[in-house]
Amino acid sequence: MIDGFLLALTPSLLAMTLAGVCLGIIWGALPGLSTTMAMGLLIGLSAGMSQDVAISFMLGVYTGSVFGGAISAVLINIPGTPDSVPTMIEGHQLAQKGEGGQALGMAIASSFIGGGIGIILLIMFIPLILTFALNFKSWEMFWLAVIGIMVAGTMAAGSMPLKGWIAGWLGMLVAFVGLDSIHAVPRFTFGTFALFDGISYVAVLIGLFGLAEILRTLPAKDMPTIPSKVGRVFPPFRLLARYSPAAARSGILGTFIGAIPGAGANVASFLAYDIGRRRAKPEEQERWGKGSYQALVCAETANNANIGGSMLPTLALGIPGNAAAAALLAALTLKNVVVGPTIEIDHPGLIYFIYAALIVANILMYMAAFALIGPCVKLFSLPRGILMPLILPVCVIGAYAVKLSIFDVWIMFAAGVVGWLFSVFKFPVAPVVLGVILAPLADENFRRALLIFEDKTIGFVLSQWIGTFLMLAVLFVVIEGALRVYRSARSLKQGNEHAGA
Amino acid sequence: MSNPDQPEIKFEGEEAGTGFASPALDLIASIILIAIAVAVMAASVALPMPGAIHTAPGLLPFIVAASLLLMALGLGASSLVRRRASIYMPALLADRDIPTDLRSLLLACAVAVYIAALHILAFQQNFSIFGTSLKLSAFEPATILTLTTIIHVSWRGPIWITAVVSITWTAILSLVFQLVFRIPLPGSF
Repeated sequence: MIDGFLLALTPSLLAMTLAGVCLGIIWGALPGLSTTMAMGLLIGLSAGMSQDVAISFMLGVYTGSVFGGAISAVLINIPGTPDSVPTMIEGHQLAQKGEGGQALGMAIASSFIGGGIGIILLIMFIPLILTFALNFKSWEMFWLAVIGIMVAGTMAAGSMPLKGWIAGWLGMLVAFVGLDSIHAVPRFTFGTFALFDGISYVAVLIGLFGLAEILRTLPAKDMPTIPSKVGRVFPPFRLLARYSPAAARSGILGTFIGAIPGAGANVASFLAYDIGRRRAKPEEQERWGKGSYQALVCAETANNANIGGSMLPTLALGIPGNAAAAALLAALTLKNVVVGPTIEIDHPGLIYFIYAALIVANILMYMAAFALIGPCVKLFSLPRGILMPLILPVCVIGAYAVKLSIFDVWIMFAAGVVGWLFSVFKFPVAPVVLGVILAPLADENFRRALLIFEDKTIGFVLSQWIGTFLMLAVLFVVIEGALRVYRSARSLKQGNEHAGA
Repeated sequence: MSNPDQPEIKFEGEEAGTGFASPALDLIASIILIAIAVAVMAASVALPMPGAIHTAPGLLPFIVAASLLLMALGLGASSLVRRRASIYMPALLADRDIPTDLRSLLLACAVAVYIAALHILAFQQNFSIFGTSLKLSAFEPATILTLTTIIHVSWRGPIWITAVVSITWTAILSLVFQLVFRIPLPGSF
């Protein structure tokens, strides 16, 4: 661990982490630019970096951008990331009362505390999960991959989980293109040599989250109102102390939600916000939704604690906790780092370096966030018509940089157009990424498991209790999704009847 | 969870507005998905099978496509039910802003032209400034032209500001990627 810290604290890595954190905060603060988009675009750029530099930089971006969403949520009432919606509900009300600076200060402190709780729990639990994960065989890994895609679909599509699952399934189909991993048979390549290597997931990621976002938001005309004054930013200590139990509870909750494959920071932040309201004192409950610091603390602590949580399945099982973690996984894969149950055997010391890099990034985020609020306010006043086009060449370079292939740039373009079409048809894109990343894992393990079960009975298959439990979990996700569709269709029908009356 | 007095939440990001589309749009989506699923199922069956069926390269793609077909049928059925019950905007593009969508399509065309320019007009000119060797490729002129056009159309500010922004940004990217990241740029060899 000490070696990991010494490495993370070398001036060059410290500078890259700080650069990543600052870039992440600014990126997350700009409406329309999400954490996953930042991570996706920067994978390509990290291709030219060494492994340690790339990890420090990407973790810095991840930590910074999750917090960054709070700045636009509080100041201009537009959450840059989905997990900042509760922060926006409370923070903007406080900003309208002239307490925007203090609300942001509380958000920064809460994010720091949340990040810290997430990292502590990650360090505590990862040895346990790694030991447990060594029992996971092909059958279990296959079901874990399926759960990851399905949960991401359920969480991303809200009232219509079917669309989320379809998106995840389409992602899987994209990943099947190329040489099959067992027999090296070309699948769906149509004789195109460039497709034999498969479709670059980095190009897909950049297209879906970068270009699609440009196509979606640049032609829209509306611009947010920019606040002229932010006010005092540093929160008083008594306020921090008063809400520390709520912060601790939300941090633990955020970490555990993050550890569920497919469940992202948005689920953590909304759940912590809701539980916080139920457990708040009556006078505090009155303030909920009208500018409550406690509500803000609950949401912000949970979404940053989610970073540590999402690292648990990512590092221990190779199953990303959310789309941003999937992008990090993609970056690690580019550096030939194969994460999963054998990470400590395959890459000794790496896990400790990742802990150290996360801790350093969290501390730097705390310091940089206070310094960057002013510049972010200035950036909000930049016309979107100037800002968004500047991302276009970054998308092109990012897609090109991995394999120096213009074919990948065309893939990025196709993915961008598909991503835009997804928004037209109201399909979520995050499950596609999980589908693309997890499909090879699912494919290989599924066929290997069938080979193992070749002459075994159904009873034997069901006696693999972890696999059976995971199968039941998939069934539960399907039933829960079906109920959700039924409930939202009924509420739509009732709304329609009311409108008709 | 949220206060009923709250103004409508406006979220910007990749998951904004996911869920039910108009029934007609969902129906079109389901038809496209059914076509994709059937095509993948057929292509999976046609794949060679070097070993047993358990390890067939087309096995999981077939299962995934078959379950996609079921989901697409579910989506189509739900859209038909909602259409029959006149739930949520029966018109095809009633919830779309057509001029904005057309601008998005035009922008996509501009991006396609930009990538095609990088692809077709690729060249490389080596030169040196203060002892530092640099490369000029199709990336620089193509990016400057594309950015100037897109910014001018979307922002409509003075053209000289647009040009300065485009040239400066392209120069920054070109120098950073050549000298710091040492990654060759698209449009070069």
